Amino acid sequence: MIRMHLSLMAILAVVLALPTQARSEPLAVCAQCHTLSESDVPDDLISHRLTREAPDLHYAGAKFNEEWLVHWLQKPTRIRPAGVFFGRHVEASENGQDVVATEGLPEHPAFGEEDARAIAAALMQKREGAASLIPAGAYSGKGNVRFGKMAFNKLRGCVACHENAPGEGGVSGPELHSASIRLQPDFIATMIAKPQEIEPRSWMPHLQMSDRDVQNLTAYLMSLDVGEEQ
Amino acid sequence: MMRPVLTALTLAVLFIPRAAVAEPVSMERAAELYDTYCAQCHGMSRNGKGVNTTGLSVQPRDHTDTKAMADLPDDQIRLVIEEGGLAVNKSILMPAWGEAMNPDEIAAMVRYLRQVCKCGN
Repeated sequence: MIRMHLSLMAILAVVLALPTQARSEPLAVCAQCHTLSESDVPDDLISHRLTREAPDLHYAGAKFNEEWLVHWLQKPTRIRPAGVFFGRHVEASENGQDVVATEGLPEHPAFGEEDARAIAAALMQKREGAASLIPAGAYSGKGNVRFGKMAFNKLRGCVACHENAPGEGGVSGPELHSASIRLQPDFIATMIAKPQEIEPRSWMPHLQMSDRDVQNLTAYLMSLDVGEEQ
Repeated sequence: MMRPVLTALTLAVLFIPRAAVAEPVSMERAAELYDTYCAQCHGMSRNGKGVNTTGLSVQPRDHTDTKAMADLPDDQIRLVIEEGGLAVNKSILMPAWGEAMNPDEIAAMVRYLRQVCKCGN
């Protein structure tokens, strides 16, 4: 009788421990493609950027909005129209124009709500490296949307690499029509101001912008209509 | 007597920090840098038809154009890479890459472009 009681207790302990184990390492599946610690980022950043399967996430907690992560992990969409590194997913058309070979683009796995919430919560704890370079208040909240739009589309040429509406704009950088729900405004402002410090060796150039330009551009991106993504 | 000294010297040489030794930038690395920074607009084929160019108001330079590239002095190529199009009265759409690449890498890029255009000097 006592032995049976002990066995039941043991089974109960294992059953109770299983979800605890799953919740304790929610990022294990992410680590198959993403770099999750700054110490795991290779010294040769050029080779890393040309060959990595997915963006680094060691400062995800200072970059993403948690609610967006929860939603996106359940219904992932493509954020970088030409993939993580565009060079691996373009091919020359007949007239020599590079075009995106969409059939080769990998799909991100989708998760159930409970897993998505666990992964998002764990990602928000990731605040290594560049996270210390993103100060609270980097975006003042006082930018001029109209001037920001002009800078994005004409004066600073951001639209050459980023989409500000689905299918409109460049494709080598991540889409920005979803920036307001996807990204923290302080990250947006800091990434615009000093991209090579936040993402060393990124193909996002440092455009030496004034703080006024940075604030205006951030205000514009925060104003973009995200449509069905909301 | 000499053996400990030689051993110490050998160890010292082996453990010189890599950064302290200036390694020349290879053409293979220059090609990777081109793929990273330049190809998004100038094209994986280096022909000015990169994946971002379909909506651009100003088309990027075709680096395989031997005659047009031959007209550009090395100093001007270096300047436009380091400081961007405005530095040579060209389009703002050509950004400054001086913070993404160091001077040795930019110098290597100039040499690499001379290979691409087959207009070396």
